[in-house]
Amino acid sequence: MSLGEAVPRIAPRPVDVAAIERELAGLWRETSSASEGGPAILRACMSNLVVFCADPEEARSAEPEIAAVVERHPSRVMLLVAQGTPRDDALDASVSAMCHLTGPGRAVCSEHVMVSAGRRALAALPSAVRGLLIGDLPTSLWWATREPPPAGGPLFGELAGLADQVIYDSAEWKDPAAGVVETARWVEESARAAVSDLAWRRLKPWRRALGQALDPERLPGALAALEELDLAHGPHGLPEAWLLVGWLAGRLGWRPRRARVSPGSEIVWGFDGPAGPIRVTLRRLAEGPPALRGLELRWRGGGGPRRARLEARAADRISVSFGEAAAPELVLPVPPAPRAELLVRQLPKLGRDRSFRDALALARRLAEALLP
Amino acid sequence: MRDTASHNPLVVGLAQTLLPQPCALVIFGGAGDLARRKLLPALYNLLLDGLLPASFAVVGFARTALDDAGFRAGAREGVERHSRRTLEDGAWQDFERRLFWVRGGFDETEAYTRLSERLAEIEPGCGLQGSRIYYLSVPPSTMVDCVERLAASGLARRPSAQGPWDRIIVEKPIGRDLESARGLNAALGRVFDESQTFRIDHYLGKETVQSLLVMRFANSIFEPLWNQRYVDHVQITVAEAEGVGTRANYYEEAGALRDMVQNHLLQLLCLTATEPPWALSADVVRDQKLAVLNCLRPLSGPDVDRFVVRAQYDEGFVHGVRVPGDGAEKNVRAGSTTETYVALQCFVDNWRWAGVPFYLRTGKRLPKRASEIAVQFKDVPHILFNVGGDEPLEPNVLTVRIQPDEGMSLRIATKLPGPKVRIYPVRMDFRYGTTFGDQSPEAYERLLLDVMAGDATLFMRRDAVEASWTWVGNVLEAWERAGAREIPRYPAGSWGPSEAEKLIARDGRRWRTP
Repeated sequence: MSLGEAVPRIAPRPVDVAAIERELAGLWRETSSASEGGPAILRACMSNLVVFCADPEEARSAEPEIAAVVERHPSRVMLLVAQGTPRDDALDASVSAMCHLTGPGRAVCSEHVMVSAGRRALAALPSAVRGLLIGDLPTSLWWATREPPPAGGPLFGELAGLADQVIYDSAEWKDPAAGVVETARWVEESARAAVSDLAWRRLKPWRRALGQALDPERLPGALAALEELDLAHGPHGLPEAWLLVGWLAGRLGWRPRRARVSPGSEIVWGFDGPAGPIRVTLRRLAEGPPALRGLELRWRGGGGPRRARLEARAADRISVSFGEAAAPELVLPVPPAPRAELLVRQLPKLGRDRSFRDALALARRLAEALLP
Repeated sequence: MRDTASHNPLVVGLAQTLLPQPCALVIFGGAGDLARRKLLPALYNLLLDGLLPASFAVVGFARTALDDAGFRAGAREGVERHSRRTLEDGAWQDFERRLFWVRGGFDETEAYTRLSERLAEIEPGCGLQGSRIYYLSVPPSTMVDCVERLAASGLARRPSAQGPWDRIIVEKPIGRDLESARGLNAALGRVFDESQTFRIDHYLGKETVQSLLVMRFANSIFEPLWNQRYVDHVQITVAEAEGVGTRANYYEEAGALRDMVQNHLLQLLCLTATEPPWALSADVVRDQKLAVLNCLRPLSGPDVDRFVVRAQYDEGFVHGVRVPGDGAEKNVRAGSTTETYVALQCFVDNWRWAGVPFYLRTGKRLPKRASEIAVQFKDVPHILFNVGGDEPLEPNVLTVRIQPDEGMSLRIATKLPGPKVRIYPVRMDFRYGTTFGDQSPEAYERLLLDVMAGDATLFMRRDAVEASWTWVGNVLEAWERAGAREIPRYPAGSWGPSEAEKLIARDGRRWRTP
């Protein structure tokens, strides 16, 4: 068996919800005695990770991502699945462990608890979680469903109340405008938890690229003199685009003035900036991933170039070109960003992210313009 | 240090507010062992993590007959063999096109002219504005020459508020005694400002070493105990299983005291003993470390024999393999008295540490590779559980493991299960490798990134280097005065000579097994 290779997962065993903790303890006792001759099994745990899926299909697609996450961020996983049991008013549970080799003869395992709830048993899920949280460890709630968190109603409220951090992904929301508005409202009202949208994490290479491309040492005065921003995004990538515009506006002191929504695929916003008006155009591409694909910025005056273009090249780099030059002057690597990778990077960040909150607050204003 | 966030509103809130700045890194000795094993793999991993500046170039410079293609091939081999992550073709292509080679001797004036011309040719194509880092991975004897020729050829510019900058990285050893360290520092100082000078001690880039300050000052439970009232003594160990091997030429001139104690061990001692810095800026942290060095009780004359043990390894077994003694290693001169092992006891004479001994030891051909700092706390009163002394209680020990298996552990006494009160020492353990799934970056990754960002916190300042040489110099002087003589020996694969055991045993203590 080579390093990094997964040790066969300890098979899920059904268990009564009240007996989960006892069953987990038994699992470890059995595992350590059964591993004689095999790898030494170490139980590792950095966090409690509560994952909510709205149906069994979502849970099936989340499972491999959870396995990838715990390999880098070992956790006690509590996977909650709505509509996951034929019994309408019951909770079904199983326990297992996810393991991988970390050195010769040494495997690290994370506990994995799955609790499925019938439609009328959803309200009981938080109580199951509450009894399973390991004290003194951070708790993160991954809202792994296509509905925005506030759509989860009281269930979401209770689960979020148990968590130090709430993570969601706006990339595939069915109604992005309503989702952004409701979520931003919840974030503004939520005093406790750290909140993160994985779409915001996807923007990090773009933010870094913009920071480097328009660094005042490189292009003195360009940031202050921006007058146009054109932004292209894939289908369902609108929340990400709003977040980027919200972030730029917040950082550069722009205030939104008015929006013009063209039928089809274009939204044009007017902003007032410290040095004059700024026109922002958001364009939806017909196809491609639900993410930001490119930006073009233009600014007034100055002796140097007055235009910068940032484009996603393949999945792993952003190219930056200036002026009329066709060839990129900078190429920035973009670390791989599947959802599991983004989660791994987000989980240890338990602080309040002010930049995100500010960007989301402004994104809300942009989204509201689309609501009836 | 440039706080990028204050100039550029778009980097506020990004985790890394000190952005590495676009630059060319010129590696003097670019085809050498350090470049292939450490520097190039570190740069490649930084690229994979998206941490390298957007515009970047690496220029290898040495007499070796290479061209760009040859340098790239060697770099690829180095990355394939030594990178902590496997080589990916796409990323490699991106990395490779930034690698260049300039051939020339470090003592040839024309070579510096060629270097200057090649940089001027490369930089515009790589989007660079002329900022450069010169990494001197060269024999100590050539360092001054390199620095002076850099100046003479106009490649070294003093810092200015605007425009491109130059920085220089120098590898240890910074001199071989106080006088030569002062000489090298003076040569550096004639050409580069201290703010441009980065003296690297790769130990300071290690994750656990950085974590030491976090452990001490981000937890409320340790600091109140971190003083002479509660600490019995501290042991700092840097053990190597390898012999002098291919470094015999250098090591014969240096020895363990110069090679390890003057830099790595004293730096670890500084971090262990320092007062809380009032800020995390480079100069504040380094001021506090300097204060520790200034408090080290000088050793001189008879103290050296009493408090310092040096030794050489004999033939023996390491990990079950028979290995030769130091005298039988290639390039070790007959009758050599160069020490391969040092153990010493020292005191930090300040209010916090008054009377607390610090035991330091380092050696080659010890049973295993292990570096750790162990803080042993005082015994509890002999009243309840150890009245008779038949079953003495083991003291609490907080151990910070630096390598391998980075982490820390705390030994505590607990009751064995059963009807009787029987006490047993157990270890509460934290391991980076099993607690955090991610690999720790290599020390050189962090340190190179810091130089690109202009952050000198983890680098040794001139005054600290000279202070540590002042302290170590007393020992060297005493050894010099004693003349060449037989020094104690220890079998390879043991934890050192019996003299070292006696050094600590006379205080009623014993060395730990790391």
